[in-house]
This record gives sequence, C-alpha cells and structure tokens, in this order.
Amino acid sequence: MQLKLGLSFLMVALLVLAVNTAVTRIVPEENLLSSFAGLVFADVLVACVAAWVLSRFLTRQIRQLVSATAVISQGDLTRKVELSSRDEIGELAKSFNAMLASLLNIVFEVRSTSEQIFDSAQALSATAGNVNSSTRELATASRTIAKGAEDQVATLSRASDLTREIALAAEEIALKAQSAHRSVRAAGERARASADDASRAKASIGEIVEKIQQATSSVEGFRARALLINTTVDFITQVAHQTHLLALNADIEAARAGEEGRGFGVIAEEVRKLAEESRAFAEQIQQHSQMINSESASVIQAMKETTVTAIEGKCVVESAASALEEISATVLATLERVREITELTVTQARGADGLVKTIEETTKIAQGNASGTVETSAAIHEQTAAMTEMSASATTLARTSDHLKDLVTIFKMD
Amino acid sequence: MLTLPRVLHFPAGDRRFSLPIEAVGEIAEIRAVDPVPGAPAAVAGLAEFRGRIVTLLSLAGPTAPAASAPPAPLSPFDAPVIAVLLAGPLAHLGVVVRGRAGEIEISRQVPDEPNAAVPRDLPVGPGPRPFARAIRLEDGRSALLINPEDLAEYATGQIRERVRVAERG
Repeated sequence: MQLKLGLSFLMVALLVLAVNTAVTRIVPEENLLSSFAGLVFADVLVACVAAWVLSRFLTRQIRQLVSATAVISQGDLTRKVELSSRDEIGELAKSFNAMLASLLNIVFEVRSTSEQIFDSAQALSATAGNVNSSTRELATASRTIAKGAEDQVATLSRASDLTREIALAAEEIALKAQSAHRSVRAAGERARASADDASRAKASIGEIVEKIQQATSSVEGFRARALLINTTVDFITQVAHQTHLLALNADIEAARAGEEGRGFGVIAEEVRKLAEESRAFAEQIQQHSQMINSESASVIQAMKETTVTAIEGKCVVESAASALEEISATVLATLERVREITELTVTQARGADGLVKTIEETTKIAQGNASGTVETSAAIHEQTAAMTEMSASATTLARTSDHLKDLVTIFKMD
Repeated sequence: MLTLPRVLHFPAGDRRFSLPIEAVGEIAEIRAVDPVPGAPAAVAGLAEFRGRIVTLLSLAGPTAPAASAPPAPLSPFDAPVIAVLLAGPLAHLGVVVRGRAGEIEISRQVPDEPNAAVPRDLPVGPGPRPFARAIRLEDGRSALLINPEDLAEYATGQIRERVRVAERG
C-alpha cells in the first residue's frame, strides 16, 4: 500500500510535472506569468482528479474496513475483513483480521478470565467474609489473650514481688540461721566449759566436804578437850569451894581463938581470898570453857550442816554436771542440725534469688507477650479492616468482573 | 578503940542472915539431907555429919515475905547443901544456906542505929521478940542477926506445935 500510494502520488506528481512541462513548453515565456494561474488551475485540476481517483480506490477498501470495524464495534468479533489486496490496505486488512483474532482471543480470555475473576471474587468475598469472621473471632481471642497476658503480667508482677519478699526473707533466715549456728556453737562450747567447771566444782566440793569433815573431827576433839577442861575446872572450882569453906572455918576458929588466932585469921583470910580468886578464875575458865563448848557445839553443828549442805551441793553439782553433759551433747546435735538448716537456708536463698530472676524474666516475657498480643490485636484489627476492605474490594471486583463479563457479552465470538 | 563485932553472914531465901562469929561452929557441906515427914517448914531435915546427927533449919520459909513463893523442900537427891553449924550446946543445929559458898562472908557489924526498923514479917518466937534482928554491916549492907537460943526455941516450938496437931488429929 505504501508503495501503491507512493506510486500514485508519484504518478500524480509526474502528471502535474508533465502538465507543467507541457504548459511550459506550450506557453511562451512571456505568457508564463499570465498562464500561471492556468497552470495552477491545471495542476489543481490534475491533482483533484488524481485525488478523486485515489480516494475512490482507497476509500473503497477503507470503507470495507470501516464497515467491518463498525460491525466489530457492535460486538461481532466474527466478522473478518475480506480484502485480498496486496497493498497496504490489504496488509491493513490482514493486520485488522489478526487484530480481530487477537481481540477475539483477548475478549474470550477476558470473558473467561472475568468469569474466573467473578468466581474468584465471589469465592474471595466469601473467603474474605469467613476470614473476617475468623479474624473477628481471632481478634476476640486476641483481646482475651491480651487481657490474660495483662493479667498474667500483673500476676507475675505480684508473684515477683512476693518471691522477692520470700527471697529477702530466705536471705534473712539464712543470716539468722548462720547467727543461730554461731550462737549454738558458742552455747555448746560454754556448755562444755560449764560441764568441765561443774566437774571441777564437784571435785572441789568433794575436797571441801572432806576438809569440813576433818575440821569437824578436829573440832569435836577440841570440844572433848574443852569438856576435859570443864571437868578440871569443876574440880578446881570444887577445890576453891572447899578451900573457901576451909578458909571460913579457919577464920571462924581464929575468931574463936581470940587474940592468939589473929594471925591464923589473917592467913585464913588470905587463903579465903585466894580461894575466892581461884574460884573466880575457875568460874571464868568455866565460863570460857562453856562458851568454847557451846561455840564448838555450834561450830560442829554448823560444820555438820555445812557438810550436809556441801554434800547436797555436791549432789546438785553432779546433777548439774550430768545435765550440762546432756546439754552439751544436745547442743552439739542441735549444732549439727542448725548447720544443716543453715546450709539448706543458704541454698533456699540462692534458689529464691534464681526464682526471682526467673520470674522477672518470665514477667518480661509476659510483658513482651502482652505487648505482642496488643500488637497482634491491633494487627488483627488492621487485618480485619483490611479484610473488610478486601471483602469490599472483592465485592467491587465481582461487580467489576460481572460488569466486565456483561461488557464482554456484547461481543459475539461464535 | 572499939572493935566492931564480927559476924558471919549468908543468904537464906530472899534475906541475908548473920550469926555472931562465936556462935558459929563450922561451915559444912552436907552431902545428903533427909527430910522429916510431917516436920514444920522451918525444919529442912536431918543430916549425918562427922558421926553426929544435925538438925538443919531452913530460914527461907518462915522468914520469907508472904507474897514470895515458898522454897522447894530439900530432898536426898539434891546437890550437897552448905549449912552453918552452930557451936557449943547448939552444935546439933545448923542453918541451911540458900546460896553459894562464895556468898558466905565474915564482916564486922556496925553499931545499931537507934529506932532501926524491925521487919514486921519476922516470925515471933516463944518469947516476945523474934529470933533475929536487923543489923548493918560495915560494907553498908543490911542483915538479920540471929540469936541462936531464940532460934532453937523457935524451932522447938514449931515441932511441938506440929506434934500437938498430929496428936489431935
């Protein structure tokens, strides 16, 4: 076609040129200017004729194309352009037919695709609806999980606080157990020392009892000597008494003798005074002896009582020593128990610390879970909104595909 | 210079009695005194001393104030008593000393004071006067000076009265 049009336009141009040449040749030069109009008129006329011829030729094929296009525009895609020319219009017709075939395929594909799209849109809408409802359920569950996660965080926080308090209490118990261990050990050492002291005290009391008994024996011997002194003093007193009586009698005889008995009376008086002094001293000795005897008796009694008390004290000390021995053994056993308890409490304190750390980590995880749950919930909300939009879009797509299918149905394809 | 008479004074009951030194025979320690049943209170009992029987008189009962408690009667189981045995014809009589031997002393009698008060509770002997009178010793203490004969008569009168009562009744 392009060649044909080219040739046509060349022919027209040659024709015009030929005309011009002819005119030029024909017409003298001094009449060229005045023949110009005629020339131009001739050229235009030739051009018009050529154009009319070409247009009639071209138009006829183009009209075919146009009519075919009009039919196609009505939707009948089965109509082909029946042009077998070899020019460009024929090529155009061929291309048009090819385009029509392609368009038919396309429309067919579009229809089938639109149907598929419609079906998919329907399914997508249904699925979007299901997903939306599932998402709503998921959102509800997520809210529930978020609430639970928040409650879990709160519970874990309380548990963490309680565990921290327990850990502090365990640590304090461990410290007190260690202090108790030290105290019990010190008590055991004191009990052992007291038991040793009690044993020494028992031995000392035994020695004291023995010495008191020895002293009692000595005092009893001393008292016996005092009794002997009393006996001697009694004898002396009796002698003094008799001497006094003798002196009195001598004095009486001297008085009866008169003047001759004066000297004898003096002697008798002196003897009587001596006897009186002896009696007085004997009386003093007896008083002292009685005092010594009485005090010795008191001392002996006190020593005996002291001995009894010391023996009782020895028994008490023995009992105390036995009790201290038992206490020492019990304290040692208790010390061992306390040591075990101390170790257990230290282990417990360490475990409590670990538990606190674990709970804190769990709390952090729970907090993360809660945050994630909140985010998930928000995401679900967004998803719900997106699903809603998708559902709406699916609906729109279904409508669009339906509309497209309706549009496609305009085309006749078979 | 006037020589004050010497007396032997001794306690008997609540009072202090004395005897002229010449009237005292001996001061003896009597181991055992045998009480005489039915005898008057003035008769403490009988004792054997150097082979003779001595009647011991107790001056605590008869001469004690009425308000005071009567002395306990002597018994053979009591400790030896000290008695002042009279001399001369009254050597069979003796006066029981209610005290220690150390309380028997020899002192001098100061002259009698005129208008000296006589204890009203002294027993009256057969005679118009009591067998003892108050004197003062040189150391200022007071004592009752016994008249041995009046004392003997007093004791004898007491025994006779007791016998008479016994015979009567």
